[in-house]
Amino acid sequence: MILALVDCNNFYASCEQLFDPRLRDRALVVLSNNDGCVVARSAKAKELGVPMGAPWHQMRELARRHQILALSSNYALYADMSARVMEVLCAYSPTQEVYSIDECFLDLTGARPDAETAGRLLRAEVLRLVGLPVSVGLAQTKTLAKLANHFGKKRPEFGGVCPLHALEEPERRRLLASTAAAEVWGVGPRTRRALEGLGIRTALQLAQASPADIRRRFSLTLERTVRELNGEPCHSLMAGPARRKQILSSRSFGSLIGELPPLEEACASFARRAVEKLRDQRLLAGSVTAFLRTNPHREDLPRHFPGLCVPLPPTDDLRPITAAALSALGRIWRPGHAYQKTGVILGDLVPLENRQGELFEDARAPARSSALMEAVDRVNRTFGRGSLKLLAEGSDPRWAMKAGNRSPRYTTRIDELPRALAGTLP
Amino acid sequence: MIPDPFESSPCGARLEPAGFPSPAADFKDAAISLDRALISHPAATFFFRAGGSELESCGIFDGDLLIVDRAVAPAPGRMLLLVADGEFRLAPFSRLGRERQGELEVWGVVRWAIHRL
Repeated sequence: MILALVDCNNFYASCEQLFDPRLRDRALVVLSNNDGCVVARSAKAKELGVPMGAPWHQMRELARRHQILALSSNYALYADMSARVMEVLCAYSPTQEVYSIDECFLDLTGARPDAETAGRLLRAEVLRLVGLPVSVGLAQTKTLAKLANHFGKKRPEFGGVCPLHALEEPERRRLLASTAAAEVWGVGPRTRRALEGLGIRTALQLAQASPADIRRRFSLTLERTVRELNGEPCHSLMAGPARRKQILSSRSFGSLIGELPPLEEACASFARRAVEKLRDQRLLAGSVTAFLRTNPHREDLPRHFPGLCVPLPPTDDLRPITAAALSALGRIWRPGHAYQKTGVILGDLVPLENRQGELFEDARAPARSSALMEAVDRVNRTFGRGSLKLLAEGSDPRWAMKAGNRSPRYTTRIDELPRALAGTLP
Repeated sequence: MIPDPFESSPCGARLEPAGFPSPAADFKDAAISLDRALISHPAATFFFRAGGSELESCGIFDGDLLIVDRAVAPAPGRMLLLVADGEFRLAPFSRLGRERQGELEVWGVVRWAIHRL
């Protein structure tokens, strides 16, 4: 088996640079929801030493000195560009596992003329067709493909494609020896410290550890990591995304909120987003949980982190789900608290095909409900997300997140297209 | 309220029109889709808005909706979308002198300009 891990380089920053060429040579960072932390950096910003995940307010001095530009996240753009990348890549393999917004595994076993050539070709094609740079790691297991991708990205001699499976043994050992164990997929900070206690610091040392010993001291998961580092596949490629056990929709507010009505509007809006995901995956929800959170970092304010789960007859209808979420919210809300966040969790998920009728329900109700929800989906597909929604969401989202410096939604909004000038060339 | 006979009945079954079957049913075709007609490579196709009136002789007017395909190679007779000085620029292939072809970056090829009358 030969697997490829294909990963977009500086994905969010690259999307921004593709549609605004002035940003190409600039130090650029993209900030998380509410403009809190750095979630992507252009090559220049990396050179200046902006760390991933850094709170932006701590970076202001560095930003001012080097004129680092900070943009708010433009998720509509990133999601559309991600879909394009995945679409191009799926032509290269019968099996694609989309692992995150900017990376996927491909099974390149039997690729012609060979996996490395296929890897170089798909890298060139994504760049040509979609305009985004990717790196490719090739190896016999997912864990090694992840590492190979890391080498492909960091070491210019590979030209963006690292065929770890085809390297000579001494070269492989040298690469693994030069890599910290913490870089290995699935090795978190706590495991790293425990491994250091055993003298295991590099990926090569981890690969040479005894699997039985690792299982005894740590876990089956880490034993599998050791086996995978030695080229023994333990993690199979999932053809599709795993069916989820829960669907969560939640986000922090732009500012703290105390009164119930705006919290209800926010909660109804998260219910709608959760139902969109639910319907996308053709699932029904058997329970709805609403929760509230005060800011855990504000020790000067009263704290309150309540949640309440309401069971439902399995449904994907926005109306009963929103009603249940709002009734739960009304019961957990306490006056006198400044809430930072609310959210909705859909649980007890069952596939749509397994729907069971209720003994006392109107036999026409399911058909009416699904006809209505399909009409709502169609309207929102045609006119944009959230064009048709319940009045419970209100019309003025004062709880909306801060996105002070978002770029235009170049690929998903007809009134935000990039401009092309007809004029004399410079 | 008059009950709609084609609305689903209490037992869940739907009534279907039972007259003479439509002679056109076997020839039913999907409606015309502009997306299908104008876009050959969906993953590589992007929309732009034209600015300026210098290319009216080539059929591009200020405010036109441009359909740009990155999968199509630049060639004589084609309208190019270029990157120059940090901006997107439109130019016919012919106007791009041989010496400038290496210097300016071709972002894509404009396949259609949709113009409101």
